[in-house]
Amino acid sequence: MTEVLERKLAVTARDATGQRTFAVRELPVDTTVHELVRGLVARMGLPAQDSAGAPQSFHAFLERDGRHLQASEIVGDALRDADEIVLHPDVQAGARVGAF
Amino acid sequence: MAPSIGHSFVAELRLAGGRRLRTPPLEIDWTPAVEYAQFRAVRRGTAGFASLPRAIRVHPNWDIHDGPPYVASVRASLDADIRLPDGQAKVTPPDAIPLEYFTDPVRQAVSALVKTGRLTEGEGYTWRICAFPGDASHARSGGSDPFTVEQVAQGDEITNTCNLRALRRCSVRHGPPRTRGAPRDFPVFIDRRVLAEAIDVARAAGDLEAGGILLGRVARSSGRSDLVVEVTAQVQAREAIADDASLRFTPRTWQAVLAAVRLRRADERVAGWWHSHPRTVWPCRSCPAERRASCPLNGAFFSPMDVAFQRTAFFGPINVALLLSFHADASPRHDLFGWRQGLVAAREYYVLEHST
Repeated sequence: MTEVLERKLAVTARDATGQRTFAVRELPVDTTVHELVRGLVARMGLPAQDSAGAPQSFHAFLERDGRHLQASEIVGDALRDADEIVLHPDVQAGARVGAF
Repeated sequence: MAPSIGHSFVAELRLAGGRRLRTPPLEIDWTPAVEYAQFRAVRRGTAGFASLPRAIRVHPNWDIHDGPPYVASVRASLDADIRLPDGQAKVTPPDAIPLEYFTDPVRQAVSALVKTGRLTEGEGYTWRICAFPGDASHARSGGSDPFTVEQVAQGDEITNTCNLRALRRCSVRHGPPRTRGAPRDFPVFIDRRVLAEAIDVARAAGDLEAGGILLGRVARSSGRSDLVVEVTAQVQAREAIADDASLRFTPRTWQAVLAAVRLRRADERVAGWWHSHPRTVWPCRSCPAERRASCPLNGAFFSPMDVAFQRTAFFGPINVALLLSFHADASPRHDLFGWRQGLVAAREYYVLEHST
């Protein structure tokens, strides 16, 4: 008889400017990075929408590898226990002429 | 992070002809209000950044004339802070969250009403906020995720002290005049060299926007129990994507600028960001000087995109935004914006001429 244990990870997540740190526990290895980021954004108090009402995009940066994870990657393939990820927003500032 | 909210908030629209229409419950981003409540405790010295109070409660202050369900302001408080039960607030406390906090949620709700045909596009309206008992804490809580997320202490308590009087003696005050009765912002000092560096970078960018990260120190003023922020450095965001009216921080931008920050001293913390608005987007550039003098557009313009940028990346209550606006003069005007009562507003600041 084969017994399959569901593996789970514990990682740390920070916002881009490092002002808030969160412990992520019981993270199933079959979670996608997209699902992880979506859950983190909600729980970390980050905005879900940009100034135009479109979904605000965040990318998970894996400190150990020095790279941004693809949304489709599987957590069990990309992350190890105690990894640190940083959520980098794709965000725009500026004086759009039409706003005047 | 998610506060306890004992009410759901709706907008009551007043349309032409006296017709009234209530929106569905508003979707409200409470994070800035929560940050504001937590920061009040830090400023008072009853909490530290490493021991931020988690139990925040949001509750309405009722309109003094009409009473419930009409809301005059809201208060985000630590549970231990609440002195007046709902409905007994006779005046709006000066540190309450004003109704302007609801502007964007109301706009979104009105757009939804237009889409469903309950409101005609372009129809004029005014609005008031109503609150009704009901738990709205579940919104965006992420409770269905198969993992747990818990904020951890940062371990960076404020141990430095500074002499506020000495800093002011070496500084020049800038910013809007103080408003009587308004909450007092914590003092921010920007080193003259930092300002000069940012101006040089912005000037070199010509007709493109430029920007970067502001770094600094937080100290507690000696003799007065308030926090003081000193901006000591800027790091240009060289990888940002700029045009004449926008500045985009992509994930690659963050990676590069934060790597540059890491190479610096360890005792600095992110104090905010800066960016420039080139002369090409100055709306008064073609107007005669006498018209500019009275034109409300002839000032610093912190756009909705700028506010969203601040909310997304610089949501911390000490975070400020330095804006360089190139107008008629060779040197840009400089203005500082920061969090106040959960909103981003122009604020006073000091340019530090000599380091103490």
